[in-house]
Amino acid sequence: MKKISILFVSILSLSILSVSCDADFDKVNTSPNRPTAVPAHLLLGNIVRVNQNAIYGMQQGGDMGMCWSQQVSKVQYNDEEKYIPRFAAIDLVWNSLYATVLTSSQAMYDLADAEGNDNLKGISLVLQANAFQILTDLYGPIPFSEFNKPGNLKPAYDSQETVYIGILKMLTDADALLANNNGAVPASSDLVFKGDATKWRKLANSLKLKALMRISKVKSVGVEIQALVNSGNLMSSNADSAQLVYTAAQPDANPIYETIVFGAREEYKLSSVLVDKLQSTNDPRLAVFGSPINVAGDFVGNIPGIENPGSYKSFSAIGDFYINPKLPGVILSYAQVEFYLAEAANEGYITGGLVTAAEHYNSAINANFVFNGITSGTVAILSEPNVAFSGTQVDARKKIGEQMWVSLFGQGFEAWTEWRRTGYPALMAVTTHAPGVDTIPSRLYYNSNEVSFNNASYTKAIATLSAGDKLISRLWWMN
Amino acid sequence: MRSKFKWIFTLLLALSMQFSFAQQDKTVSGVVSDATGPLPGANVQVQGTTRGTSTDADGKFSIKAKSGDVLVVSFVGSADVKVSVGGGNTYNVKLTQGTNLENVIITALGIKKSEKSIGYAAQSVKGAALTEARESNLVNALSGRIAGVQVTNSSGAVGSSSRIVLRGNSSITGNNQALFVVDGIPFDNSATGNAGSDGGRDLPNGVASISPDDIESVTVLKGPNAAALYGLRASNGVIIITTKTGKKSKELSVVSFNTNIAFSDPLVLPSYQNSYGQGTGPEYFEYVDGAGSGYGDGTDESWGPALDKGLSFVQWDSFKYGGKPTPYVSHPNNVKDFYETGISQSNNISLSAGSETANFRMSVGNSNEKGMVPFTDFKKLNVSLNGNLKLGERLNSGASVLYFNDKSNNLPNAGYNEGNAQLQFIWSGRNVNFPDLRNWRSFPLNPAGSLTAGTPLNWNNNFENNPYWLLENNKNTYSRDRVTGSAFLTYQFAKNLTGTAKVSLDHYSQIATNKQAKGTIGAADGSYLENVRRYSEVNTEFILSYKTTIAKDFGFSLNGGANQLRRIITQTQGFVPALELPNFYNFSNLKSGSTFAGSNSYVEQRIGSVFGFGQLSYKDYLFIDFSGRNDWSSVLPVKNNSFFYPAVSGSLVLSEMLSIPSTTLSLLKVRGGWSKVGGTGALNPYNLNKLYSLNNNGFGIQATVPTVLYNSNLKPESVQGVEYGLDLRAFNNRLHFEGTYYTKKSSDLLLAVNVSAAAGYTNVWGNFASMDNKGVELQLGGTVLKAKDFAFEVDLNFAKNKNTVVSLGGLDSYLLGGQWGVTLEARPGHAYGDLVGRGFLKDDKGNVIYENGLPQIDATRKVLGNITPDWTGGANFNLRYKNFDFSTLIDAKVGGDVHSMSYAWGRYAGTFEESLIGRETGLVGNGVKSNGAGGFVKNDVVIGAKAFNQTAYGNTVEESAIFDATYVKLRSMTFGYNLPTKWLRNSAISNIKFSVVARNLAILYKKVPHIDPETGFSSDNGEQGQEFGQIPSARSYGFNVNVKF
Repeated sequence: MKKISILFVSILSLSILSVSCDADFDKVNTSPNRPTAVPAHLLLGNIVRVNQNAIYGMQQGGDMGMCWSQQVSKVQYNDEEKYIPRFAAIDLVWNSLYATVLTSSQAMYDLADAEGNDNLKGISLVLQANAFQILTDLYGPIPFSEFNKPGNLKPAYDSQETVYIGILKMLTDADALLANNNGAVPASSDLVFKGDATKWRKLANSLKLKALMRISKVKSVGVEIQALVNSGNLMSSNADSAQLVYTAAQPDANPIYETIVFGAREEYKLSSVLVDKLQSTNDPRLAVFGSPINVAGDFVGNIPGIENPGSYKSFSAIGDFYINPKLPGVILSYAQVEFYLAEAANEGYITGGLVTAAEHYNSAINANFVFNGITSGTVAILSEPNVAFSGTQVDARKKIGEQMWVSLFGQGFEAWTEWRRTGYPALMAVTTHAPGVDTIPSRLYYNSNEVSFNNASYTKAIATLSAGDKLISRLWWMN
Repeated sequence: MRSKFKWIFTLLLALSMQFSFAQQDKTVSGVVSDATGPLPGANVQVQGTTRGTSTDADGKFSIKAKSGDVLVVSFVGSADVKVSVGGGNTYNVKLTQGTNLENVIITALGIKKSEKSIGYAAQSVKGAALTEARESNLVNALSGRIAGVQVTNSSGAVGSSSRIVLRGNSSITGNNQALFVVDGIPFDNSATGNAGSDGGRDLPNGVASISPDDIESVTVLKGPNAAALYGLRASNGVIIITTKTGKKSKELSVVSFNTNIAFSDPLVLPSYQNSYGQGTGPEYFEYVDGAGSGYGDGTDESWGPALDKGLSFVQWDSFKYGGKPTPYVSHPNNVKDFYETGISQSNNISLSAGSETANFRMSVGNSNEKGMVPFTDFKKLNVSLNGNLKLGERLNSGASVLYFNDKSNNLPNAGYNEGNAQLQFIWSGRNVNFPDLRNWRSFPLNPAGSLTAGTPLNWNNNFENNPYWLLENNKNTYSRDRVTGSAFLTYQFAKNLTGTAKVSLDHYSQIATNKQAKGTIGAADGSYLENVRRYSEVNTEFILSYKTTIAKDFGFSLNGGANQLRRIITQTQGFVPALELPNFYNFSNLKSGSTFAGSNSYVEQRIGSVFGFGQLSYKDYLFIDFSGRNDWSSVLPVKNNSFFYPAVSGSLVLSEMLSIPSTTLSLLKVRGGWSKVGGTGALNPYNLNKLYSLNNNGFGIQATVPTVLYNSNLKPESVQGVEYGLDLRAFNNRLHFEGTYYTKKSSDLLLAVNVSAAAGYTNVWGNFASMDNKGVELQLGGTVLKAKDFAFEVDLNFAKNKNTVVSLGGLDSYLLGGQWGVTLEARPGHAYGDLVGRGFLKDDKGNVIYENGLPQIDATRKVLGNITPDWTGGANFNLRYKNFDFSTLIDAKVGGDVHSMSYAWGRYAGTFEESLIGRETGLVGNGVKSNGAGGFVKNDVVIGAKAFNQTAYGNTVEESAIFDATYVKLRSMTFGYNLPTKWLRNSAISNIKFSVVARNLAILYKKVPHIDPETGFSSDNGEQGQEFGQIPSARSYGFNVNVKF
C-alpha cells in the first residue's frame, strides 16, 4: 500500500509541475502551418492576381462596368444593369484592394527595403498607385493617408485631389527606383513582365500618364505629360502592355470565363449600343467581341435594361476570343496609352497638334486590332468616315473618346470610367431603373460596412459628395 | 457487416436466455402501497442481481426470486424497504413517504450530491425518456424538456447538426454551445461540416454519435457557477452524460434489448402554385434544349402559360413521344413525391455482470437511417464497455471505452447550391413532375459543347442538373471512427482522505469526401475533395479529497487537484478542381493544366490547471460550496496566460431548518451563487504573431499577408454569473417547482473585430467585446390526478433570456454571417443576431411608397429583425392507466425572426402560391404614391404580378422576406403498453414494453410560411436565423420494443 501512496504523490507532484511549467507554451503556440518570414518577391504574384480578379469578376467589372458602359447587356437577372448593384460585389472590390492588394504591397515594399531591392520597391509603388487609383475612381474620396496605420482602426478619408497627388508621387518615386534597375525580380513571381524591370518602369510612367489624363479637366497637366513624353519611358508597343495572362483551368482562369462557362451564366450578351456602333463603322472587331446568332452571321444586341429571358439564343453572346480562360486581364494596354497621347496632343497638352494626335490615334486602333487578333483591316477601318481622324479638334475629341470606348471592350470598369470622363459615346440611362438613379451611375456606393465600422470618417466623407453616398454623386475629375 | 451484427445479436440473445433459464426461481408477488394507496411504478429488485420489475397500475408486482433473496422496493421520495423472501409467495410492502428524500444529482467532476445541498440550477433527464421516441441526434431529444435549454436542429437531412445553447449566447464568435462531459470525459461536440448559405453539407455534432440506450441520465448544469470546475470551456454551461454501469449478477447476462423502427416524411413543404408552368410569359412555351434554344426553356421560373387549360407544348419529356407536344398540366405533389419515406432502424443490446468487488457492462448498438432525400443515408455503430474493480480495501479502479463508427454514403447539400435538390423546386417549372426524372438512365444525354454535356436531360439545363442523377453521382461521403475512454485509480489514504488519478482520451479520425461528376453545373469538369481530420484530446487529472466533521453539526470537505489538457487537431485536404477521366475520384486523376490544391495543418493547444473546491455544511440545512481554479493556456501570450477564477454558492433548506412536516412541504430550499469563469473564447492557437500565408495555384507559389491582424497583447476574457433560486416539493411530492433568476456578464471578450479594410485588415484581434445575459427559468410539475389505476402528470418549463451586446470596443457592428443581401450582425445595445438589410421606402406613417405601381426600395441598410427568441418553453404530459402509458411533449420558441430566401426566390420565380395574386388581372400594391405635390395618396396603379413579385421579392430588398420565427411544436408522443407481469412469470423476461412513438408530429403554431421556423444552415453562430432551400424537417412515426431481463 505504501507503494501506491508513493505512486499517487508522485503523480500529483508531476501533474502540478507539468501544469505550472508553461515555459514551452511559446513553442506550443508557434504555428507549424504558416511561415513567419518570406522573401519580398513571393508576395508579388498574389497582389496582381487578387487585384485583377477583383476588378474583372463578372459581378463587378462585368455587371457594373461592362453593363453601365453599355458594351454588354443581360437578357435576365439584370438588376445591376438597372443600377441596383449587389453590395457584396461592391464590398469585395474594396476589401480585396485594401486588405490584400495594398496591405501586401506595403509589406512587399518593407521586405524589399530590408533586402535592398529597389526594383521590388518600385513595383510595389506601381501596384499601390494602381490600386488607389481604381479605388478613388470607383468610390470618390477614400482613406489614403491613414491607410494601414497601426492602431488606427477608423481611417479618415482623403479628397480625390489629395489621393491623386499621392498617386502621382508614388509613380514618380517608382520611376526613380526602377531607373536604378537594382534587385532581382524572379520571372516565376512576376506574372506581368517575367522580371523585366524596364517594362515595370514603362508601366509606372504610363500609369502616371493615365492618372494625369484622368484629372486633366480639373488640373493643368500639360507640363508633366510633356515631360513623360520627353522621357521616352512610356509603353511603345503591345509587348509593353501590362496584363495578367490567366491559366486554362479553374480557379485561375479569366474571371469572365469562370462566370460564364464554369458558372453557367449565359445571360451576358452584347449590347445593342455596341452592335449598332460597330456595324455603323463596319468594324471587324464585332466578330471578335461577339458571336453571330445564326449561320447567316447576324449580330443582334440586347437593349440595355430590357429583359428577354424567354430566348437566350436570339441575342449575340460574347465572342470566343473573350470567352477564353486564358484571356489576359489587362492592367494597362499600349493602345490606351496611345489614345491618351492622341488626346493630349489634340487638347494641346503636348506639342505636335493634330498631326501627332492622328499618329497616336491610328497606332492606338492598330494596337487594339492586333490585341484582338485582327491582322488586316486596319487600313479599311481607318478610312471609315466615322473613324478616320480628320477635321477639327472637336470631331477628333469625339472619335478618340469613342474609339477608346470600343478598345476597352472586356475591361468593364475601365470602359465605364473612361466613359464617365470623356462622355463618349453618348449613352442614355436605361428606362427602368432604381429609384433616384436617373442617369448612368457615376460612382459606386461605399463598402456597405463603412457605415458600421468606420462611421465618423464615412459620414464626413459623404458630406463632401454632391449627392451623398449615392450612385449619382459626381466625382471630382468629372467636372 | 450489417447481417453479421444481426447474427451476433441473435446469438447473444439466445445465450443469455439460457443463462437465465438455468436458474431455479419461484415467482413471488405482492402489492406496494403508501399512505395514499397502491403505488404504481415502484421498483422492485432482487438485491445483488439485475432482476427487477416495477409495479403495475394496481401497485402489483411479480418477480422471480429464491428463498433467502432480499427484495428491495424503492420509489421516488420514499425510503427503500427491504423484504426477505422466505417460504411464502406473497409480500405486500408499505412505503413511507418523504422522510428520507435524497434525490441525487451528478455534478461537476462526476461528484454525486444530494439535491438539497446544491446552490445552483441543475436538472436531469433520465435515459429512459430518450430511448423510446428516439432522435438520431441526442441533442434534439433535450429540446423542450428543461427550462432554458435552447435546441435548434438545422434541417431534416440525415446527419444534420443541432445547436444547444443554455442561458443565451455569451460570446460573439466563439463557441456558444454547452460543454458535453460523458462519464467525466470532455466530449468534443463540434460539427465539422461546411454547410452555409451557399452550399456545402452539414455534418453531425459530436454527441450525435451517442446512443440513448447507453445513457443512465443527462444532467444540465446551466450556469457558469456549476461549471467553474470544468475550466474555461464551461462558461456556456455543462451537460453531463452518465452512462449505465454493470449491475450485480453472477453470470454475464443480457440486461436489456431495445429495437426501434421509425418512418419519416416531410413535416413542412412549401405551398406551391399549380396554375402556371415554366416560362417567362403566359403566351407560349417550347422546350428545345432546356438552355434557352426554345421559348422559356432556359428559365427556371414559372411565369409561363396556364396549366390544366387543355394546352399542349413540347416539354422536357416530349422525347418519349417522338418530340410531340405533351399536355401542359399541373402536378401538385411533384415535390412531395420527390421525397421518399425515411426509414430509421436501431437496435441495442446490453449485457452486464457484477459481484461485490467488480462490475462490468457491455453494450452494442447500431442504427441505420435512410434519408427522405433520395440516395442519402447515415449509419451508426456503437460499442460501450465499462468496468470497475475493487483491488483491495483501499484501492478502486475503473475503466471505460466507448467506440463509435458513423458512416454515410451520401449526405445532402444545403443552402443555395445546385447540389441541393430543393433549389430546383424553388427556381422551378411547376409543370414538371419531378419523380419522372428518376429514370434518367434511359434519357438522352445533353450534347457535347453544352454546359451539362454528357449528363442526362433535365427540364432545365441552364441552372440545374437532373436531380436524381445529381444525388446518385455527386456524393458527400463521411466516415468517422471515434474512441473515448478513461481509466482511474482511487486510493483511500485515510478514513477521510482519498486520492483519484484519472487519464481520459477523446480521439477521432474522420474522412469526408465530395464528388462532383463531369457535367455538373458549376463544375463542368467535375471535382474531387477529400478531407481527413484527426482529433485527439488527452486529460490527465489528479484529485485529493478530504472530508471531515469539524465540530458538532459542522461538516467540511476539501478537494484539490490538477489537470493537464492537450488537444491536437490535424487536417489534410486535397482538392482536384477538374477530372481527367470521368467518374474516377482520386488525386491522381487531375485534368491536365489544372492545379491540385492541397493543404494540411497541425494545431496544438494545452491548458494546465490547478483547482480546489469544497463544501461547508451546518446540520442538514445549510450548505456552502466554494471553488477556485487557475488555468494556464497556451493560446494566450505567455505574459498573460495565467488566470484565476473563483466561485461560491450556497443553499438553505428551510423545510429542514423550520422542521416543516414533510407531508405538506417535503422540500423548501433557497439557493444562490456567484461565479467567475476565465476563458479564451474564440481565440485559437497561433493568433498572436504576424504570419504569412502561402498558396499554390495555377500561377505557382504565392505568399500573402493575412487579412487578420494578430495581437500579442491579448489577455483572458471572463464571464461572471450570479444566480438565485427556489426549489419546492409539496403535498407528498405531488407538486414540485424550481425557479431561478440569473445574470451573466461576459467581458473582455476575445474577438477579431471587423474593421474597415482601409485600416489595412478586415479583422483585428483584441479583448474588445462585452455581452450581458439575464433571465429566469421556471419549472413546475406535479401529479394532477391520481386514482386507483390512473395517474396524470404534468411538467411545464419556461425560460426567458434577455441578451444584450454591450460593447464592441467602440465599433458599431460585427458581421456574424449572412446570405444574399441580408447580414447577421452583433450590434451594441441590441440582442445578439440582428438581421440587417434593405427595406422599402416609407412615408411618415409607415406606408410603403410606390412609383409606377412598384414599391420603392430604400438603399440604406437597417436592422430588420433579430434572431433571438423572447422565450422558450415546454410542456410534458404523462398519463398512466393500468398497463398503458401515454406521454407527449410540446415545445415552444416564441419571438425571434428568420430571413427566408426561399420565400424571396419562390415569389420572384413565381412558384410559391402567393405569386398567383393578380396573375391575370394585375394587382395594386398596398401603400401610397406621390400626389405630385410633395405629399402622398393611396397607391392605385395596377401592375403585373411578375413585375411586382420581381421587385418586392428577390435579392434587392430583404424586408419582405423577414418573418417571426415563433413556433409551437408537438415534439413527441409515445403510447406504451407493458405486458402484464403475470404473463412473463415463467420466462426469463421481467418486462416487455411495446410503444408506438412519434416525433415532430406537427407544428401547432407558426408565422413563417412554407418552411419550418426551426432552421439553420448548420449549428454555427453565423448560420442561424437564415433559410434557403431548407431540407424539410422530418415527421417520424415508429415502434419501439424494450425487453428487460
